[in-house]
Amino acid sequence: MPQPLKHDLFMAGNRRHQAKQDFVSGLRAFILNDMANGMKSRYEQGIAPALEQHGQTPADGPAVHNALKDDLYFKFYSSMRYNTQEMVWRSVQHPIEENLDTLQSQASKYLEQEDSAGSSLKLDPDLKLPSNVADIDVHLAPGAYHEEICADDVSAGAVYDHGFNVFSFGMMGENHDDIGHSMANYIKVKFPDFQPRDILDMGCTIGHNTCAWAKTFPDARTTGIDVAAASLRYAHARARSQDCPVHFRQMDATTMSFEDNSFDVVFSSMFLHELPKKGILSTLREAHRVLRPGGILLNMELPPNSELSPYDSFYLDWDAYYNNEPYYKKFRDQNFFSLLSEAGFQDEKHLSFITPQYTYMSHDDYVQAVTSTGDFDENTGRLAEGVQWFGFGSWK
Amino acid sequence: MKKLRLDTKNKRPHFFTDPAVDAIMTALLETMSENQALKERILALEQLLAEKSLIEPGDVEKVKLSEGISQELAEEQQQFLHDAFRALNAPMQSRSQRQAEIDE
Repeated sequence: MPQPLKHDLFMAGNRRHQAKQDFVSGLRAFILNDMANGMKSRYEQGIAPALEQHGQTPADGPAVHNALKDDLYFKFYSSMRYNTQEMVWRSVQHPIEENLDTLQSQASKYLEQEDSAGSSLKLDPDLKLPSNVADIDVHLAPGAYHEEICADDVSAGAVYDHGFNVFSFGMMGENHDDIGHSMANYIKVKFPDFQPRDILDMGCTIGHNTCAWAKTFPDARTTGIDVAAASLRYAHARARSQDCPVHFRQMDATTMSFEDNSFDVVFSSMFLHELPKKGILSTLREAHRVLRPGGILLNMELPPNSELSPYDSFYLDWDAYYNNEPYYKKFRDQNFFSLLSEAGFQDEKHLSFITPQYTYMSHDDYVQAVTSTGDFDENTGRLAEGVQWFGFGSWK
Repeated sequence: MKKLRLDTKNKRPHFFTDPAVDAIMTALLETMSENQALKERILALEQLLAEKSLIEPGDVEKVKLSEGISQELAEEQQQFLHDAFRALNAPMQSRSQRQAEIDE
């Protein structure tokens, strides 16, 4: 169930709003746990053996998709999941609309305050939104991260933050920062001598994971960039309300204005799969350019299809077909290390890993968990019980 | 009041052969969420009545469900979902097959 977010921009909504959000969250948990398991059993015990008998064993995700698309269970699963995704956003849009003045006022308090914590926000009104953002309601979210309905609008950021709370049914950390904490602490535990001075989070949206990096490496200067002003205004106020010092800049990761050799860590989370291949390569090249020698590029992502069974590939690729993520599958069909090499990173300096969720265990247990090599399994990148995160990147 | 855009730009996919079934699914799930919200409110009212034997305007908004009732509600939701989608696990036959069996 969604829990109240621990920052001052959280808008609880009234009793009815909260009850509906609880329902949607519970429904998603049911679909992604019980129904997903039911669909897999149905495939493994009925559909796949029948195809094997005719020598038509599905060899990849699309073949599994084809084998399932006329199955009643798949139809219900997909219809329910699609509808629930729409309901995620609608369940928070209404209370945010009703409390918009309060939200704007709360945010502007932080936007106008003196910068005592070492935070800043710099927007670029001349920045043109790339078409992969402007033309698509990604994740079926109307207005996505950027659409504005008033001056100094933060509503898109608020919808994303509150909707993500319903979406993730309590599995992404108390302020949706588990991925950031898990990735940052992986680096801290595995490379204890590595002391970054400057950290960059590309495509940071509301800065939920950016703050985790700032907290994990408090001596570093942490910067978050995104193309969406409405998300960045919200991110800045959200970070300020948590006394989290982050510098937010409106900037396109494919053409960053930072000097060469500016950062020790360049991070992204669930970002590359939202870009067309050309944008991915531009982003990785830019990451290489702004990294200092000895620095690291680290991307938290869904695992590549080459590492997954045909069924698990199909399962994750559902989002590409039905959740307005048109580049998701094309990205996961790529060889991630080849992309890094093409962008200028050296083959021998690439790394990839699996990490458990940092904020759901003690630090000592986490240290123990990441010192053993994790393997891909059906829970890698899949938001359900037992999820673990996948990261890949390269040292410069 | 300023309005957020509620509908997406994309065309909605239909998963069932007849798109009407998809439309019914949307209505069904929305109705289920309303039903759950109403049920939650009634439980809150029942709890409040038990505690005070009297309701005043605004009291319902303030009452926090007990852990036990919250748990009960969550469990009931899961049971309801299993009940509502029981057809998924039941053997099915086409209308013509059924007619043929009866006519036989």
